Amino acid sequence: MKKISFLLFAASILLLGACKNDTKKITYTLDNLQFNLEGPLFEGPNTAQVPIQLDLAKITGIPQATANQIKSVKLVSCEINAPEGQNFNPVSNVVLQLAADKVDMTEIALLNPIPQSSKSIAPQPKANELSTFFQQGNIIVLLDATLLADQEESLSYTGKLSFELEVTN
Amino acid sequence: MRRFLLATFVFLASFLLTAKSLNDPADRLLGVWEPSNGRARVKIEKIGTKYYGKIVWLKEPTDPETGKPKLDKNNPDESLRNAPLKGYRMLKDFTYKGDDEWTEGTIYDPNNGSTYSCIIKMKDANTLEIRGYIGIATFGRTDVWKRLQVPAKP
Repeated sequence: MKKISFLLFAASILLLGACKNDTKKITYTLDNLQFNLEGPLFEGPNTAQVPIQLDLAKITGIPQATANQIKSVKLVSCEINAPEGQNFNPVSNVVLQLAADKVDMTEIALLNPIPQSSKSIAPQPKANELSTFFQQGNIIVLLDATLLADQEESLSYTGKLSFELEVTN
Repeated sequence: MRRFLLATFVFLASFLLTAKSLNDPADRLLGVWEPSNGRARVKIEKIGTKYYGKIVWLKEPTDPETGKPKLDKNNPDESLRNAPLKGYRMLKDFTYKGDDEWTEGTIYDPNNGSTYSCIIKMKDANTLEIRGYIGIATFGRTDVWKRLQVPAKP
């Protein structure tokens, strides 16, 4: 009797294991984001918006991937670069945020203050769970750059954001 | 003839699209608004399909204790406490529900660092009722904001 119970138990464990969805980790990078702050710009935060259309099949490598296959998304690194010959001196701090239609705007990274004469900065990612944004399909990446003074000229920066995703097959 | 018809179609389509965006009732919220205490001005802008408002002017921009620009020193996020208050996005995530009402948003009170649920009701083209609340809208506080007629700095 003991043997049968053990065999039944082992079989159910095997069955559960077979039913369980495999999850895999993926790194997805949004590269060459163009943050354009069009002048005239004013002292205080000025906002640049970059709309992104996410292709889940391309991101996950799963044809016909659906939103509910995305289990977890975290921003793991972030980099913003000034154009050749320029730096971040007009800016005191930056906050990066994500916005989407059905999700509340969320801060994803910040750097405050920006070290003097920086040409490239790496805002510190926050540990927020961002899967709800990726499940939306369309997101907006916002750069709030706090200017130290008014200026007529526009500012333009490029950004690179790397996310770590956990998806089920 | 074909070319003429195509040109007419393109013209009409672009005219209708422009007219639609100008007449979108939700966009009447856009502009610069002043709360009843007159101590700040908030610019409401559209990001995606939602509405957000940030502080663009302060009556007393400097902190009397430090002599420097006022900081968001009550922010619950410690890393933002030395960010300037001017420019803070205090209205977030409003969607137009219809009937001159924008809902599902939040309002941040920099005096205590608290964020409340919020409903915006447009009484007329230049007057907003901003109701902040916790839990149920019945238990909240309403402030009246007036549209600033002169364009202000964003």
